[in-house]
Amino acid sequence: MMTHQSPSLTRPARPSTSLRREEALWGLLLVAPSTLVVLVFALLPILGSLGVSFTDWGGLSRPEWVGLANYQKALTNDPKALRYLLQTLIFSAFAVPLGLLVSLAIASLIHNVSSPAVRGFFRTLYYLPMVTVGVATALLWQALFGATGVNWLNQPSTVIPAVAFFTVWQGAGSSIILFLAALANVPKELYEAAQLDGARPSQLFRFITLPQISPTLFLVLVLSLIGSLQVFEAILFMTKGGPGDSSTTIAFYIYKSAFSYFRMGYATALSWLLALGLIVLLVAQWRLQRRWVHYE
Amino acid sequence: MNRRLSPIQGVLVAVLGLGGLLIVLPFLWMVFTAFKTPDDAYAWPPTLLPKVWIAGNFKKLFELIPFGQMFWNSLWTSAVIASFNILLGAPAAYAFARLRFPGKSLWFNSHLLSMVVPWQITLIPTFLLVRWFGWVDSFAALIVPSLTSGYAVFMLYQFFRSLPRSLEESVLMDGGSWGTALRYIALPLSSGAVAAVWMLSFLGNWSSFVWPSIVLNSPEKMVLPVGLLALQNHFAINVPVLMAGSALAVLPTIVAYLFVQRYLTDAALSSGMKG
Repeated sequence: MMTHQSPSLTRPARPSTSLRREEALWGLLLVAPSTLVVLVFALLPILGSLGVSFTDWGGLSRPEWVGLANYQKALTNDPKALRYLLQTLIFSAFAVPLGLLVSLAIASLIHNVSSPAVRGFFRTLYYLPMVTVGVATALLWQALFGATGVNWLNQPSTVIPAVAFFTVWQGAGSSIILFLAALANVPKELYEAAQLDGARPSQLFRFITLPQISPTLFLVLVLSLIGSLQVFEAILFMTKGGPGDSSTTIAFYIYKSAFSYFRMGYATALSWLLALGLIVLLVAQWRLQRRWVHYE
Repeated sequence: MNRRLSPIQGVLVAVLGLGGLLIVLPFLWMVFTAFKTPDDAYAWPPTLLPKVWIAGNFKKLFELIPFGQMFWNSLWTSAVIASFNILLGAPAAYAFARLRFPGKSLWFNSHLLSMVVPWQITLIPTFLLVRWFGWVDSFAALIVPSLTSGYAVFMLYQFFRSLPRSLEESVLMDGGSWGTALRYIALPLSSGAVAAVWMLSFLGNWSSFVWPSIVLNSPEKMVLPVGLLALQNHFAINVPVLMAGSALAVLPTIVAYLFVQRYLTDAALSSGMKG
């Protein structure tokens, strides 16, 4: 580990070649183990799944090359996929606005509490469901729906909003802490100046808070959209896609295609279409944000 | 003027408290129901507290499934994975935050990609890979693919970037290596962040379901979430036993969370989501 020249003796204006080489070696050494795992267990599977999606394959037999047939079927010849996509969108239409409103409201309330200890207490409390076990809380809410006679999970017309409610209950904490951080960063002088001009609290919120936190609003919107369009575990734990298939979402359909129907090729093709859909949505959101998100 | 006593503050705390009940009451109901008789649990109108307190649900839970074994499996595999996430993730995060080396942005973006790619895409090929290694139904299948975590690397990266460079520079000036700077300066300064990332990783693995349900088959290797969901479909199951199992799975996470909550929410904040 000794270098030829001690750096403290030479003190070059720019790092010497040997120092830069040592830095490069250290860098490679430090990132190598983690990068190796990422390459083998994330990047290689990504490439592999692209290959699998062009095959007809039951998992054990030899995969048969079918070209774009899986994609073609998913896009033009699978009424189920279309219906489950629609059900996924309905789920998002409940979960995203509800999650956004609830977490922004709770964060605004917590932010305005004057005692730091009480603020910390509520922040801890509302984040709590995030750190618990998804299976356990899903079983808990399933039992609660049953015990209180609210049979929302058993009826096709109410099962999707019921699961959406559960996911908001479970996940609002992460949006709340994001909003709390954003609210804390709004400069106090803005409020003071507006109050001097006689602005009402609702005007302060509309014309100062909202524009100031709009980057976070955008981030939370994107994250919750991505999450809700891939909703899977809550469905698996609470409804198994039922009753009938009235709460089957795209992600749950992918899982069933792979591990109940053993159509690995078709399932991976659907996964890629879902991912492409998410990317398109992200790009569209990114373009739209310029109209309403204010960056400093 | 004492602002804490103002009526507006009272209303704020009251509203937040009422909302908080929606979080506290379900957990309390879960714990209390674990001590109810089945008749009591299904009684109408429902009650929070048991009429008669019984411990039999926990006994039945341990008879129906190897709950103790599952709890232990979840505990040690989650702890091992979380520790490896730090062991591999902290050096990588440090190098990404501080050093210049060939391919840096490529390696960094690979980590980011592993974070954002939907799990449905990688699930089947990763399973094939694990099967090719001959690891199906072994703990290696559970642990090895999760040895590193893009989330852990990203959160630690954010933290290392926020540290002042001056201390590390003085180490380097005195002839110390980058390894020394990491080991004796950067890591000790980040113990809170490291603890939080460790805990987030532990909790994530403690509740992880899909991957273990696919690669593990033997009952004696089962982890807690998979066992709990299997319990849901057991013919002899009832709500109090389910709640006994759920409560035992959830309570350790709540206790752990309360210990490190301050660091935990800060770390989760830096990645924008749960790890």
